[in-house]
Amino acid sequence: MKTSELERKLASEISQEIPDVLDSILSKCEPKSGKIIEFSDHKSNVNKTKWFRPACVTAAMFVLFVGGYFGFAQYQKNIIESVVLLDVNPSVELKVNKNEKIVLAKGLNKDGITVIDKMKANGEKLEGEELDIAVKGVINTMIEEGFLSEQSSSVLVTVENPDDKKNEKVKSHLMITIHNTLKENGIEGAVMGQSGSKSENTSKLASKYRIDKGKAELIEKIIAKNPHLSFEQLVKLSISDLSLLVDGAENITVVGFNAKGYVSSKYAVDSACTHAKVTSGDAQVGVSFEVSDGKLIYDVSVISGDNRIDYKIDVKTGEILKWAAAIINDSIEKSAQESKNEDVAEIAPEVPKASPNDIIDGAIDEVDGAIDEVDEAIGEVDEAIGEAINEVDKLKDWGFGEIYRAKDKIIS
Amino acid sequence: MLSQVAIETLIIEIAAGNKTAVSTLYEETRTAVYGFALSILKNSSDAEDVLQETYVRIWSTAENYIPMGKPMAWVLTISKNLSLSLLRERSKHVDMPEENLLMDQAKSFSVSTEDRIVLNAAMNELSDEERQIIMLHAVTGLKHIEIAKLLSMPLSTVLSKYSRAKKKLRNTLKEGD
Repeated sequence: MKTSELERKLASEISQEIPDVLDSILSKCEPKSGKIIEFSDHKSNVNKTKWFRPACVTAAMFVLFVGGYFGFAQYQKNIIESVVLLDVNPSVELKVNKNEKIVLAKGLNKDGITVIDKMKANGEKLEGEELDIAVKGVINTMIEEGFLSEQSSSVLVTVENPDDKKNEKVKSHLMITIHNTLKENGIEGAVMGQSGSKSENTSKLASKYRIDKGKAELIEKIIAKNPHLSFEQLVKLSISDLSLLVDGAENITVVGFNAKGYVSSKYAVDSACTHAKVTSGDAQVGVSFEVSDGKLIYDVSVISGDNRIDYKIDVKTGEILKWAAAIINDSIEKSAQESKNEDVAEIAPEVPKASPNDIIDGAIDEVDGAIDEVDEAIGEVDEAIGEAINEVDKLKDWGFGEIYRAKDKIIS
Repeated sequence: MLSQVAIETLIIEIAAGNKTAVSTLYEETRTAVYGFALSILKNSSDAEDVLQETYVRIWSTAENYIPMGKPMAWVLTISKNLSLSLLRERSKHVDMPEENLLMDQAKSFSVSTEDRIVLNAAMNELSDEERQIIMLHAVTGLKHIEIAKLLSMPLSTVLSKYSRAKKKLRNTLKEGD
């Protein structure tokens, strides 16, 4: 086992062991008090009437109270408690205070800026508005501008709030608000909700691919469930495309579904079976999602007897984009006649060929082995250095001792 | 884990009385703090106490932190001092025999997933110093030279102990196969 893997396992087990004591910590964090300024007790010789000091104190207290009240209210109004990210393709960020009113609204990409500008041009002022109403306004504008439609009908809501309960409450409420707003406009769409993380890695990915943190986090969750997909592939997909991949992903809540705009996986399977001239009951059929040339496709495999045919089917149109047939013989797949829109009957697979996956796996094994060897070597070098330094230290001590003893002998 | 600059910013926020910063710092560094405490104390319940007390201590002393680009070392020093003080207290007041510690581990670390086996091996097969070094390297991301400073050990000792610890863990895992 490689050192990095050993350490990763150790860290992973520790992270699962940790009890959650945050509430208890926060309850023990006493509010920080400012320095207490003590008034000196010396008596003034200034000749003032007895009422003057109490009157001054009262007046000062009044000014402090009134000023403090309005100052504090203004301060509270501008404290950001939650950040809400709305993602369709336009990305919009709403910063919200504890009264759930908008403190700041901004577009995070070109389309997002278009949406906010359009709202401003229509006289809709977002700052100071209730979050609920602001979100409705943003969704309605996205529909008017054609960013949301029956064909592209998914919305991702990401809520960042340090209080988990409040986070969950705001997120659920907004998901329902958006779902209802879409419905009012005759759109059946999927609304996905997630809590924003503070992961630095997510922020780095978002910045690298010029997307917002919400979308980056969604992609990371999809990859965790579908390791065969990569960030580079998924970043090109729309939020609607990504909504098809969230099934089974952790910490994502979904309300509604894309009713239009995509063909179902059943449609894709039926289409493949019809093309292969088999019924789905007589053949083994597998279906999964893949990304090819920046497009989401169904990858359907139909196995009947020794024949296997793989289909790439467009998720939006249901069109068979490509198919390849092979004969399965003693676990060796022989390739393959590849075609576009040709009949399956004339399959003539002859040339044996190792699958690219086998080649990649083999290469990975070799690299792993090499890394292990290098790792072992580094370990031994580390140890040798450690021992060498210890020896040098010992020699140094011994050397000085000897020198002093020799010096003493000479002197005596 | 957050960058050192981000952790330093959080400590400055904490000094200014921002409780949200405590939550963020806790979320981002608790694995390191708990792992280090566990490696010293070998007892999950004590490590939990230290975990809690470390952040309370950070809250109350953040004003004293001098930004020098090594905030994680500061956090872990608090955790180390609390752990050592708890160990001293235990040896003075509660005569907790080694068997009890082992029983505590057995109770906490008995399920044999592969990750758990590695942790068990770290807890049972390594010397105290080896365990602390490997744990610090695994869960805090500190470099050997930083570990050497934190544990007040020569770098050479840290390097040889780290190597020996890795070998011991590998051998234990091979025997388990």
